[in-house]
Amino acid sequence: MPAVVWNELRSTGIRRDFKANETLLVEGAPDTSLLVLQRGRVRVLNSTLLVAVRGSGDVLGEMSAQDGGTRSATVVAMEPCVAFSISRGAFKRVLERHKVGDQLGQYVVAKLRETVARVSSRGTETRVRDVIERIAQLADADHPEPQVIPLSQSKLAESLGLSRNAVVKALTQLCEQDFLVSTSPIRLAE
Amino acid sequence: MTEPAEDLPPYRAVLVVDMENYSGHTAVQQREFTEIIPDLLQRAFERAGRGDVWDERRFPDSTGDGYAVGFRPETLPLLTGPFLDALQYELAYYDRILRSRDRKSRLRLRAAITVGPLYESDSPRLGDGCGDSRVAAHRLVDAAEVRRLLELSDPDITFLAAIISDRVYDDVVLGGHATNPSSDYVQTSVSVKQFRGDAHLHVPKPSGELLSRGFSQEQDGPDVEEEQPRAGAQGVQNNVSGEVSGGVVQAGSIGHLKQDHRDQSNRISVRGNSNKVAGRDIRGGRP
Repeated sequence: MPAVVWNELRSTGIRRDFKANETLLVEGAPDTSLLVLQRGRVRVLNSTLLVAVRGSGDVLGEMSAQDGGTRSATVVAMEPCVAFSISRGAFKRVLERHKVGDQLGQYVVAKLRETVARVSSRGTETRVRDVIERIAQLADADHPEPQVIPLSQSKLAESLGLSRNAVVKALTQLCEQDFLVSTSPIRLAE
Repeated sequence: MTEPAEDLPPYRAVLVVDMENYSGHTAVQQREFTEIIPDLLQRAFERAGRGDVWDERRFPDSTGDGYAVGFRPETLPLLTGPFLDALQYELAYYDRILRSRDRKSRLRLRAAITVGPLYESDSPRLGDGCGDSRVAAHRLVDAAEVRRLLELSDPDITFLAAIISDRVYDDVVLGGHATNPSSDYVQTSVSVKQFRGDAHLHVPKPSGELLSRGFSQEQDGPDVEEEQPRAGAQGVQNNVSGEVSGGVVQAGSIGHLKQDHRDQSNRISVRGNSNKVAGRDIRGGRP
């Protein structure tokens, strides 16, 4: 998204701060507003299952054309986050003014493509590794500890719909492969 | 052998809010309220000129129909005064938006404020924000005494009723640190689940029947508590040796006990069956 659009969205919105594990958006609530995520990483959950990980620069909330729907996912902060809340109407007006409607469409498609693979045929270890990589990629550029995954083993297990034991086993294997240096907290090798 | 003494966990002010009639709303409305409640709390702090206090919140925890959160104890005078006033204002403002869509839905809150030592996430103990004062806040917010305040008041005017623990009242209000006078509070006795104790009621903007009938249960006609004497309350006996000054209440079944703090006379009134009352100083407290 162009910086000028981003800045206008920010200045139009109301700043909201979230602590780790606070809920930014609630699945099933009216999708009357969107959140422009300025800082921090979040988990996007469908029921309790992880469907995506988002980071700074992402827009959270439904971007469908029609009004009157409800949110399709719950969004929970993984670490302290700063977001700007903006009404759908105001969001659309900013995009129209800057004629970035098409870009928005592409953005939605890109977002869907990024959705964390939940295909159960893939091995546990691969899924755990993918999610960890994705979370690490989304760390803010000035993050003090980009190698640390701000997610407990049990939260990771819950997010993937796996047992804690299965996740611990996968993490241990990833440690042996030198992908991780520790499993609690989950810390990536350089 | 000396057992090493463990440090007391840090003192925290605890705020718990709970929504009235959450289950009476549709699923979509419920989720909207779950999402908006922390937003309204943040806006209330900003309205009170202390957004920084919200930024420093500890162990924030959505309960679906409410919210539990901790703050530095130094912020208690803000919490009990300007914050509650600002929250009433924010809720009234939000109600205007709700009203324009659907008059059947309402967001009215009960708030409880307590203080005490709480474990935080960096402590080796399990759980974030765990401790008796947190439990007490959840109990207080559920008390019939504070629910009644909302039930009796005009739903279009009064959006917030608060209950503060005896400890908060003593330290902040009687201690002279509150922005509002002690006469802004009405003392009550609360019994919810295992929790028993004194607490103090406050409504930033009272209205309706609450004004004519008052905060106290005693003006409600028959006292429910009197009809249900507590088990084991019979045959109370006090043995006193030595010289005693001050006072004592000897009670069979207390329906209502009230000590007037507002002047120097220390009047005590006790209602209920087979009570003997004598003396001067009474202090309530948790068992």
